[in-house]
Amino acid sequence: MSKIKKFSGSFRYTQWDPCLIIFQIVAMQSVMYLSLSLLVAIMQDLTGSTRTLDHLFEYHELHIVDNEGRAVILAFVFNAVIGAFALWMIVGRTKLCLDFSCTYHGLHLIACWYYNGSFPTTFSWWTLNIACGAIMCVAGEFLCLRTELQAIPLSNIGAKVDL
Amino acid sequence: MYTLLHGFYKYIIQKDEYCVLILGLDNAGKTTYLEATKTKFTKKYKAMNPNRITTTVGLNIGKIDVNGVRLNFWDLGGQQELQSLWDKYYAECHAVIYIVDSSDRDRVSESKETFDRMISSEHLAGVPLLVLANKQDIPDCMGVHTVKPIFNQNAHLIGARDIMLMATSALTGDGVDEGIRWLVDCIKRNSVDRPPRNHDDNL
Ligand SMILES: Nc1nc2c(ncn2[C@@H]2O[C@H](COP(=O)(O)OP(=O)(O)O)[C@@H](O)[C@H]2O)c(=O)[nH]1
Ligand SMILES: [Mg+2]
Repeated sequence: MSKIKKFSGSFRYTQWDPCLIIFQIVAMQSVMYLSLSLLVAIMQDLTGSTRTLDHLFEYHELHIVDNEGRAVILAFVFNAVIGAFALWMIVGRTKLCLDFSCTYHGLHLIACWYYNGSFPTTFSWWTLNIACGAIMCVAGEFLCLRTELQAIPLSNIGAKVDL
Repeated sequence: MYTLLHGFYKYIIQKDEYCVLILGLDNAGKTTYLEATKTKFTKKYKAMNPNRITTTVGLNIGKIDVNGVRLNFWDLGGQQELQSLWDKYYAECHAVIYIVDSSDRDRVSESKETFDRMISSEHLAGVPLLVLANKQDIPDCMGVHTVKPIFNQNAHLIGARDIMLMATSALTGDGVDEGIRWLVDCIKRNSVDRPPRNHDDNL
């Protein structure tokens, strides 16, 4: 009965779609690591240090005593802002920003744990990641909200509108 | 991740939802029947005092879980003026319960006319139909054998659908159980033609 289907909300597709969510998570993770790698690479060139994966996952590398450490921290903060735009482009829903932001950082935590072979316990790692998560989430929500609050133009849809 | 897991949990516990219309003339006992059904199939449901059931204006809604599915009942007002609203619900329902007051001999023919008008609706084609001869607890009522021939006259209107006539008493709760279980089996069989309406997850 097409009629019955029609009644169950044609305005927006709200059904649970595991494929979509999984691909969104994968896309977020890929985009974030790609941009983080680029940012860290640029920072490494600027500070003249060697390019190494340690800067991404090794939490002992985070320190503010020298330029090298500070550059890495800067790269992470920049990446959080890029993450907000990624949320906006890939997820696009205000209510889901917190979820996806936490998911990314949770997976990053697991990646770091695996890379180092031990659970990160340093204060600097946790502070940086919580701060980055917050920036990403709040900025992402701000961007998505702006899009969601836009007026829906009704003039050029046609005679029949199903609201 | 949370959305994924939460959605998965919802998906696991979700039940198929079907809508059932309760129709019949006014005073046939539709509201009483709905209350009896809710009392039978809902644990910890406090039965309403039948004396406090008043004339239905608009509609009553009831919800029960039985045999792994959820049934939503719509008890529509039966007065002449309200009957014109019935067909608005036909397209969306998965089954119809039609209640006849078998103690009221004067209005049986009126009930029969209403019944015929209802089943001739194209929106109800193939929908399982449960006809209840209600108020069987009253000594002076018509039995199933009297009521059945009256409602069986127009076989061509009934067509190829599941139909059953049962004796019940909404007041004492006799026959409520069997009727609902029969209806659920029919709805499940008919779910290819009328698929369940599943609740939207508002993610
Ligand atoms: N004796 C008897 N009375 C009933 C039964 N079912 C309903 N009634 C009475 O019939 C009257 C009308 O019932 P109600 O549920 O309001 O009918 P509705 O208009 O179809 O919703 C009420 O006074 C009920 O107490 C029944 O099974 N036996
Ligand atoms: Mg009523």
